[in-house]
Amino acid sequence: MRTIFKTSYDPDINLFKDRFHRLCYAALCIVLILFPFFLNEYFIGELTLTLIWAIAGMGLMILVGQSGQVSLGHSAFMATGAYSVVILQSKLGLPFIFALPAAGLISALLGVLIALPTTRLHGIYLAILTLAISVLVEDIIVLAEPLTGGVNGMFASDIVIFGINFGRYSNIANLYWLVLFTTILLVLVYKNILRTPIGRAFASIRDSEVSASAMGVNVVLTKAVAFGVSSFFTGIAGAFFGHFATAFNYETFNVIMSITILLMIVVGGVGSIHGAFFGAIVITLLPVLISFLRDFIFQGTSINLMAFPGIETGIFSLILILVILFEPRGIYGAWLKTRTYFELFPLYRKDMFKRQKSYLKTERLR
Amino acid sequence: MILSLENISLNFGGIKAVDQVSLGIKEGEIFALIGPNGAGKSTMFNIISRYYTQSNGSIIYQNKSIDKLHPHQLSKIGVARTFQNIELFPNSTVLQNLLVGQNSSKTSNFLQEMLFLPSVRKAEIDRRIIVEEVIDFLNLQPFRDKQISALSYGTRKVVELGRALTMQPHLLLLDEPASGLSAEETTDLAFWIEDIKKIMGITVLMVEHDLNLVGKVADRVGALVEGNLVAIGSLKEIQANRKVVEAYIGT
Repeated sequence: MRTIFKTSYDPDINLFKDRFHRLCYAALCIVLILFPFFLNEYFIGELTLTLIWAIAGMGLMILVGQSGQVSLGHSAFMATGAYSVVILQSKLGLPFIFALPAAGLISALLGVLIALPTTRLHGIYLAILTLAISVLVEDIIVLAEPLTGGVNGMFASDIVIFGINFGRYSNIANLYWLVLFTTILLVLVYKNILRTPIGRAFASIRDSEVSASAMGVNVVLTKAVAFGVSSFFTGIAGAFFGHFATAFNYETFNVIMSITILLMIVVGGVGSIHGAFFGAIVITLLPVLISFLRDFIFQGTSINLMAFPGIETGIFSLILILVILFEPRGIYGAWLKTRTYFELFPLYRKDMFKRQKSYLKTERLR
Repeated sequence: MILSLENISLNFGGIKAVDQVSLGIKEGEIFALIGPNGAGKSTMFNIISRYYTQSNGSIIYQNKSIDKLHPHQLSKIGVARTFQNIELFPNSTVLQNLLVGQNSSKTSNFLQEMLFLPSVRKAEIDRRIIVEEVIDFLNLQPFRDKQISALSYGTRKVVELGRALTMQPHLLLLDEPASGLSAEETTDLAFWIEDIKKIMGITVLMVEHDLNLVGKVADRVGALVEGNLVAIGSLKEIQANRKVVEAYIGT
């Protein structure tokens, strides 16, 4: 285990804790940038989708993992992002580079508008309200037909920036690089949130609203900011999702999508940026793996699993239950434990990550 | 007077939790509120820190009424408090908890913070320096990077005191700072509270059951009995007061 000798407070503030750490992430970036040169179009597409899910996951992570609020309605923000970016381009003729952040901001605005009247709700009540909003957004999309194309949905044209084409079917590698670039930017923003007062304010309302307000944190405002930032991220993911799918309608952004994003961050590990990425990898890789296994089983035993619909949802649910039962910290938690095991070898103790029961909490204040 | 309460009353349904209490806290003193369980001490605290709104009376802090303020606005004007049942942020480190105390004095907004402008880094270092002073004062160095959930009860109490100190208050409200502490920890606490008054110049208002601690540090003591402030004076005078004795032991 390496020890860093600190002579100033900067190492505690910096993004990377040492040179090795920085090197690892630089290497990861280079590998990710080089991927399109080695993979075929199908895999680049899957990789792009993984990154889009990861952005959406980070969005929900800010809300659930950092601020302790629940949302079962993040498909609504995905939908807002996707529809806004296409409408802004087709109806207003805005170029993509302005339409993308604008779509994010529109989603953020929706998030803040939802947050302000609902800040008194906690836990299950907030979950049900956000669920209702996602259903409502589906209906609004159908009703606002002149703008959204109603049940027929919309077609997203290829993304063009400064004359360069980033089309899903024509230039998938370009699209991949664009999404990768955006993802890296958003990860930096997320990291900055974590190391500044706003991130600590998020954590404080997650852990104890009473003492957060005693520390001078404006609980209502902080929740609104958390919702806003979260839906901004998700809106950006939605915008890319729309362009990736090229055609979408109200059914694309249903409740299942909200639950998928939630599943993603729980499986990945709530409370960490890594978790969003691990979760995204799981939910894009798993369908591929399932269909591969299905073919394999069919060839070996001539049992056709295609005859059993819903097997995918079943496996997803099973994974979710197993993760919650055996590794509540998700894949990232498992990775942390493994890493600590080797770092401290042979001094690792089994209970090192055991959570302690918290002491008595202050009685609810009126 | 740094803080004066004028005819404060609060009813919960038919129960008068606090009844017509008037009290003045002098700048730079340590004032202890004592009283049997259910006397209204914590309710008084929650009224002063604005979690409850009194049904009558007003609170004057530094010559201004604070009746209309919300709890989160108090830190800006220099009032900090601790809680009887520790209310730390258990999933963060001691350092992070202490840094939260500095949140109210920040000058950057969340957009600047998300971009991490150079001014944000500078402010972050300034905050850290203040926090490190508190860590030195309370000997919390070994626990700086420990998660709160990994600390013992006594240490958590100290961290909670530290978090209130990082807010650099003028008036510090301590809700039973010694409850659940060992005799040794209480002795340390007594020294710290005295130093908070003498070195940092902070006025302290505390609720405490441990009369040894009260006797060691408090300049004046007030006794609350069933929502009424029955006596104010030194601990000796209070202990000799018939009403107080009656309340504790019965007639």
